[in-house]
Amino acid sequence: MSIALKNQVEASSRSADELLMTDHHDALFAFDVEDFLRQILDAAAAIKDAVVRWQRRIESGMAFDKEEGRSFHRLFCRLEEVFARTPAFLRMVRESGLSIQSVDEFQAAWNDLRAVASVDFDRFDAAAQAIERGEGRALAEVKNALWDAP
Amino acid sequence: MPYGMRLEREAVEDFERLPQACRRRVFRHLELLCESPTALSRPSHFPYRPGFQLYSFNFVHENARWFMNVLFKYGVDEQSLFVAAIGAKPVGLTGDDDFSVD
Repeated sequence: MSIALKNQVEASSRSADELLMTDHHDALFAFDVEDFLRQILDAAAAIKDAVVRWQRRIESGMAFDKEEGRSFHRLFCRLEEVFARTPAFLRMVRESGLSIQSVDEFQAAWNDLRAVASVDFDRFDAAAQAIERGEGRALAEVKNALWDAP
Repeated sequence: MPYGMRLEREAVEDFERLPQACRRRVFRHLELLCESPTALSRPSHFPYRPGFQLYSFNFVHENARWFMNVLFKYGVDEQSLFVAAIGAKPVGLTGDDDFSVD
């Protein structure tokens, strides 16, 4: 898994640390936040592109490397932590009466990251293997069992 | 004709961890997914073998917005859905919530 990707994510985290230390929230701060948004959005896009390329190689016959998948997952989780710190900066800009252009894009990217980070990799792996064996309980059965459960 | 749905053990455990009110909402969303999986889902970027789809939705429950993500695969019969995981992330409702929702 790419060293460049890991460094890109860590650089985003350091940028967040520096933004937090800024004590004046003016137009220059708004520019800094806009640049920071671009930095984390580029990192999110880079990780997604890398996963797509990796999956294409698996479809073409490359062996699936679980540890590689786990490394990607850790990267998604790490970047999601940086995204979760971002609303505080956006709120500071908004309270200064200024606006940020990339908020919609930020929301969409954060939702994507959260989707990956909210699932445990190893548990997902176990479930995926169970699917291959044709296992699983019918939805109606699960609903009957859990609908009224506390 | 709605798709059939089967949940793996891990997905059932994900359900069991949810508060009852959230569980009931998720059941309804899964039933919607069975009606229209192609309209409601998209290819997942989860870093695993390709082939999984993602259905995302959110709702407010007790001062938190719950972001739910269902990872599933179509069965080879193309009439069933197999749910591998139901990711849940509650986020406390603050002003920051404005920046976390589409």
